[in-house]
Amino acid sequence: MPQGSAGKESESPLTGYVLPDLFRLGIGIWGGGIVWTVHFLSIALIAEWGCFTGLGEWRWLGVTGVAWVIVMISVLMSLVCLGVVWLAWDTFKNLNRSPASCPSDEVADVYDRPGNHRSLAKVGLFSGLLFLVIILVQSVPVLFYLTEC
Amino acid sequence: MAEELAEPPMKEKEQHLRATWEPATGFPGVLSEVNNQILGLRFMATAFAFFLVGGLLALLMRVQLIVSHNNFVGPQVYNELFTMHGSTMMFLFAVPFLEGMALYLLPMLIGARDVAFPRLTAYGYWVYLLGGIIFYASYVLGQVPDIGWFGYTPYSGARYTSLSTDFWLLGLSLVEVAGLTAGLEIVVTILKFRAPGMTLGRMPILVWSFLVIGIMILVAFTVLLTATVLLELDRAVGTAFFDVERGGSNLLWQHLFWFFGHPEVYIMFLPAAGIISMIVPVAAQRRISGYSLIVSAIVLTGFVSFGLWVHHMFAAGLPALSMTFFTAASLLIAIASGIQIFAWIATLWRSNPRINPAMLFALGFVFLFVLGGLTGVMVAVVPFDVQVHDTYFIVAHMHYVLIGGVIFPIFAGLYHWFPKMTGRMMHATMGIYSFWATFIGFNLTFFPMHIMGFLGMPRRVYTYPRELELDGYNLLATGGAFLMGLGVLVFLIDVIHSLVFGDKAEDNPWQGDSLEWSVSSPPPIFSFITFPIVRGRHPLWENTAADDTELRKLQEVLTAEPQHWRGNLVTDAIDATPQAIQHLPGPTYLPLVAALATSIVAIGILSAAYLVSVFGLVVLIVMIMRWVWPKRQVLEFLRDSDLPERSGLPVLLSGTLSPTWWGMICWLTMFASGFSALLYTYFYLRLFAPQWPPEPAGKPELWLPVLAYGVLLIGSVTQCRALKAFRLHQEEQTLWGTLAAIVCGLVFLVIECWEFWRFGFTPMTNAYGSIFFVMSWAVMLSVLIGVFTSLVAAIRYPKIHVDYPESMTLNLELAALQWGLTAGVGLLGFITLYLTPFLLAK
Repeated sequence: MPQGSAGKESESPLTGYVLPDLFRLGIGIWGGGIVWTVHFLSIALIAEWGCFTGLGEWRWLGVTGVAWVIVMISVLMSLVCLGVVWLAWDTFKNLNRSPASCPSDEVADVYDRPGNHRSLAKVGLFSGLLFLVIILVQSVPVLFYLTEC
Repeated sequence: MAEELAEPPMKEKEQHLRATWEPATGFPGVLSEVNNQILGLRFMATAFAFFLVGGLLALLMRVQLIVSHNNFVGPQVYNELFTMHGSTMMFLFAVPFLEGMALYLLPMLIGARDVAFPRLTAYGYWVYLLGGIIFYASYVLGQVPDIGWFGYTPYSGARYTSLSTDFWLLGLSLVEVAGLTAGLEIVVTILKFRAPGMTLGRMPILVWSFLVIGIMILVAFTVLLTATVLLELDRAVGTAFFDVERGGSNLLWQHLFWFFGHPEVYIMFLPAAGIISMIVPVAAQRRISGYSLIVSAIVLTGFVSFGLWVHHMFAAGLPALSMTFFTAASLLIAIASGIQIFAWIATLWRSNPRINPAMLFALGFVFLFVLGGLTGVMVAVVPFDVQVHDTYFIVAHMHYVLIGGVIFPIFAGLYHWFPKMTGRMMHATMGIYSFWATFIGFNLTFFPMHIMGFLGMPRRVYTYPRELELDGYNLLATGGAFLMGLGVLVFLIDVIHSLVFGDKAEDNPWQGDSLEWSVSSPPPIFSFITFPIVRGRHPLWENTAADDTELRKLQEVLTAEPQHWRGNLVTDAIDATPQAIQHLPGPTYLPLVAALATSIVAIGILSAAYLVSVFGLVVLIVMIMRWVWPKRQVLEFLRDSDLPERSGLPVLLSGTLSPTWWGMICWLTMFASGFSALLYTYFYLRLFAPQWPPEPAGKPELWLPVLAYGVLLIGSVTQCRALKAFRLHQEEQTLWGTLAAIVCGLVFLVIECWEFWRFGFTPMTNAYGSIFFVMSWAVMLSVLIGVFTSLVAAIRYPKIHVDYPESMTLNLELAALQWGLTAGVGLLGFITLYLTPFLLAK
């Protein structure tokens, strides 16, 4: 009986289809959400904590420490999320390019791993893009609070 | 393979299978059955009964508000009415009903015979029922909760309310436990029990929704459970988490409550939307549009719903910058809902959908939810929210989202799956009457509330001044509420009428696409005589992909198998390839006794008879031990079974093959989530404290904690090494490693108790003392569970490690996982409690 997929790239015993690294697929699907969680928790906690401590008073170029930290975190997390999107896109692209990825019915196994993985990569790509939009939009409010909490 | 082995004829095999799954009969059967179909229906029926009670309470409120200065009920009774109505609908109806639906439908949707942990299903049901009974027992004792469904402190504290709040806290805590068991059940069943070929990319949208809400329940419900425990500690023991005089915070309760409360809305909405995603394609007889986008939207909602909680606290006085982030998240989550709505519209576009009652309720849902979503976007904006915060505008918004977004889909689902559940068709005309009465009644009730809110009618107040000139709107709303009640009554009559006189239902009356329509109506108790092979997202519509000879052979071998014990095929979490066969338990009283013991613990606390609680706890522990202790008899017949030889699949499982391993991962998620809530509590209290640690605690001494937590880490490492040693067949190291872990755990507990004894403060001294002790107790609880799992492994080791290595491996894996968690929470606990007072001095 065919067993579960390998963690690293390996060849399916049924179709010759090259399995993608499941880690890449996983990062594609969950990565955007994880980056958003880190971003959101960081900025919310810094806003809450910083405004009650000296960070809200400290200024550089007229901008409060809280705002600087939030802007930096937002830029960093947007880049990380962009990386996740690129990873999902790359996986999706490779799966589309793979010669065994669109097999005819004669060679496809019941599990249609190429189709399954392509579908998951697509979900990852959409999720990553949506989370990127959310991170960017959620970073905008700080621009209205550059000089005060 | 050993196909040549003599096999009984198919008819005989089927008879054996039916006998194996036959539910126990009579009253004992009612109490001991663990099958998902029976318990799922029972969950739904019980939740619906609570829905009717909650609805009745709402009608009483509407009668009170029919005219200004009405004296139908006084302010106290009105407070009780809205508290019981809200709590019933949120905790006792909506979530449990959808959980029941999940438990009933999931195995059929994914091609399984039952859920992964049938006894846990039964335990969850009994705990839920008992929790509901305790909650409503408050009426018998004249101690009805009156603190709102949100139970804000300080009003819910010991100073302002008596036993009534304890009924609320303890009754609902039991319901939360039931919710957690269902969450775990849902996640593991979806990941491990899908039919071969049902890859993640082919799962029905409803199954995706259930998977995401299962994970959400594990996180959100644990936070609420933690919060209710902290509040009950404040009330019963005298800790100071929410006592401002002793350094506590009232806003802390709001943060913890809404961290659960907002995801809960999506825990209800996502499966409700999933139901619509099942009905719309069937009505239109075409595939759903934008499958990948819908799945992305579900994942997105699952995450972002945890970032909205502060929008319930916009009027609480938080920093403006902080609130803007929550505004942004609240606005953006509309994208996810919008994607689903556009996908349904695209699916229906230029189709010729069958308009039956299910579809009518689905269309009604889209209309109402869009309206509720629009007002949701409005109240996400801080200045607007501050204006309408405590007015009827919020009542209108909330009901458009919850009735429109949850109850309409539930009714749609009931009309859709009733023929499958009962084998009878519902009366279409009565369904249409029911829909229009509910739909028109709903809008008459709640639409005027938007205007009432703008005109300044405050919510949660038993009357309103005549000068506001709101009598007309209120009269309309009350009339609408009764019309809506009539709609529900027509539905009930339809259900009873159809059960008795309804036409016999075909197996697939709507020409549905998903697997549940492939079995008879009503389905056999085991759903599938053999596992189905799935070849696409719409298994009953698509049959084009290539076949798999080996899988066909396996299907033949496993037809009506296992015959003499309940079992289900286990598949890979991503690609759904067959991996093993899982033994499932049959009828047993264990879950019922364990649930009764859990309730006795609650009742003991409620009546301040703590010895009763201790008795309940002891019984509960004994039951858990019996539960988790694998029966040798079961292991023997599994070992002697010829099924592994014939199918090529193992029946004694360990590691990621075993659903128990996945269940353990869910447990770790829950524990980590609860511990995170405590960490949040610690830093939140610290943020607003003028001095930290406050007097008389002072900065902690380090030598004893370093010793204790060092020992704890050693214990974790030795247990993990014991597992490794067992895999390398190093018998002595396995046993010694396990014993060392037990000793380390016990030493840690002794040192901790000694340290507590030396402290100059107690949990009751101030909020610092409260969180310090409760966090330490949480670490100690994790250690105790670690010691327990290691002890089970050590005792079983000499008897089973040779004959049943898989069972031993699983036992050691569970112990290692628990010790891994213990190391994690121990390290975080040590850093937080002992190092941060030095690193972040205040």
